[in-house]
Amino acid sequence: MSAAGILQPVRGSRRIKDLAYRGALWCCVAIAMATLGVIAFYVVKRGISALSVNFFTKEPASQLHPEQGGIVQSFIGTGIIVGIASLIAIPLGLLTAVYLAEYGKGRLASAIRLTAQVLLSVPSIVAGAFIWTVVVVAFGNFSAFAGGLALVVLMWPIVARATEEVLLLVPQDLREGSLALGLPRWKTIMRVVVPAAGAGILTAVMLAVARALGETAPILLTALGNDFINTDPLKPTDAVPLRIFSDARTPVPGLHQIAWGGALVLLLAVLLLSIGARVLSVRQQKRLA
Amino acid sequence: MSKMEVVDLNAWFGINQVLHGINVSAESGSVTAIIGPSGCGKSTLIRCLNRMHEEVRQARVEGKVLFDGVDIYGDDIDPAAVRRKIGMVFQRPNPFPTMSILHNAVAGLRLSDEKLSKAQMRERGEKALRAAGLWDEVKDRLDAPGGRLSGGQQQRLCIARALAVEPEVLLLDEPASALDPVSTLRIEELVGELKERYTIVIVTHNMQQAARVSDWTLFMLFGEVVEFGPTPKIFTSPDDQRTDDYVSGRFG
Repeated sequence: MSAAGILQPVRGSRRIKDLAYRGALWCCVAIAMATLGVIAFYVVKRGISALSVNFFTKEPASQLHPEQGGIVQSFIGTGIIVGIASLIAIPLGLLTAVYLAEYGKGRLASAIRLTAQVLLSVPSIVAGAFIWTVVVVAFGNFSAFAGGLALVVLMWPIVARATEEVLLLVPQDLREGSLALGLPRWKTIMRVVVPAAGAGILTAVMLAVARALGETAPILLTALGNDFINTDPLKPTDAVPLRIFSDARTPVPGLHQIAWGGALVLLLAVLLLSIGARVLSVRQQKRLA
Repeated sequence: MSKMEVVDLNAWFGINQVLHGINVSAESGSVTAIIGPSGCGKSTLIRCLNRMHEEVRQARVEGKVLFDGVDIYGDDIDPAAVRRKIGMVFQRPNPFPTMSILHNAVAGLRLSDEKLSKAQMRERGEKALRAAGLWDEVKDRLDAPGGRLSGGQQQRLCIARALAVEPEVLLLDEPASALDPVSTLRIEELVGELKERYTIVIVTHNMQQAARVSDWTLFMLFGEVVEFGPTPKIFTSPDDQRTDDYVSGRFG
């Protein structure tokens, strides 16, 4: 008897509201996806024709025939600069995260956490200007090393905070299980907690690298750019975003073409890193479930 | 001399005192059950017995816990060394998700001695898994992840993991409360087998379980010991009226 009251069919007004909210949410998704889609489409459309063997293997040719040259020095430079940044920022970020998640309490931990938080929201050109002052001016020249340091300022807080979050997600049960076996805390962290968080940590690292790959402002003020291949980390060095920036500012259509090509390669690299990070984190969730 | 003896033990979480002047002992080759209603401090007490209590933030302990006459809270005592002698199994099975069944079983050995050979691992792992009554069920899939096992098997894997370190005392903190009745029975049988070689302390909120598996029973209320004695006496003719009320189901 009372069940009849509960089991009444859903009334019309609720159906309409449901439909309206669903529609609104779908619109939001569509707008976001469309923006991304248009950007990706445009970059591919404009950039694809620039991709050639020369593009990946040659230094820039004369402005009269830019299509005969390439930007190999930018790829090598980006590799060196992001490599230097990763070598410093990733270990530093991971150690910070372990400290914050496993040991940190009290003032020092709060101060570090706040510093990382503030750095996360600092405009990237400020990081560049800072390194310009303390490294470039002090040593008297632009360099890949200075560029790498500027990226460290941006990468370190990403690695540190994202990894801390992942470590905090590792169940306390696992730490206790390990400690109860008479294993010291550092061993518990290195062999039980960190492996359990493994893919999540890799995700954090990949996101940081993806961010660093595309940064322009900080390396503009520190690595400067170069028309030729340079492998000396203490000399001015080119990078893909720098090349896009400088080529796009010229009035030469052929160089615009090169810039679009560079943008396409960057987009693909970042996309691959993000998808890789995504796949790994899904796997991780499955394993811990 | 008792294997373990607790002397005037007090414990806190922050400013909240959860154990008040506990005195109790556990004999070699026997099972001691700790019973009492939720929040009476029984889990805190058992975690004080191998210094796991202090792993919780702001947790603090005062008093003595003697293991073969040595105070485990004494100066210069390494908590890790204490825990190798006094193992622990928790309420929720917690096998290490990144390790295989075999590696889980020998985790304590493998991670404290990185040079352990494959053959040694296999031998010690088999011994521990046999002692935990799990060997026959897993011997054909030692390389499978520990998380693949059923809840009851996972818990026995955790017992194997604790036994592999060759402790002298085994602390079980409600080891069967997250398990089904059949798995629970398996754990209880296992406790009976293990008590010949280990001193066992078990926390349980299941009074029938305490009556079935233990030789000694400690009844706690509000962080204090109400009564401690041989299990048959606690369950049939306790001295304290509150014990009688609790074991006969009038509260808790």
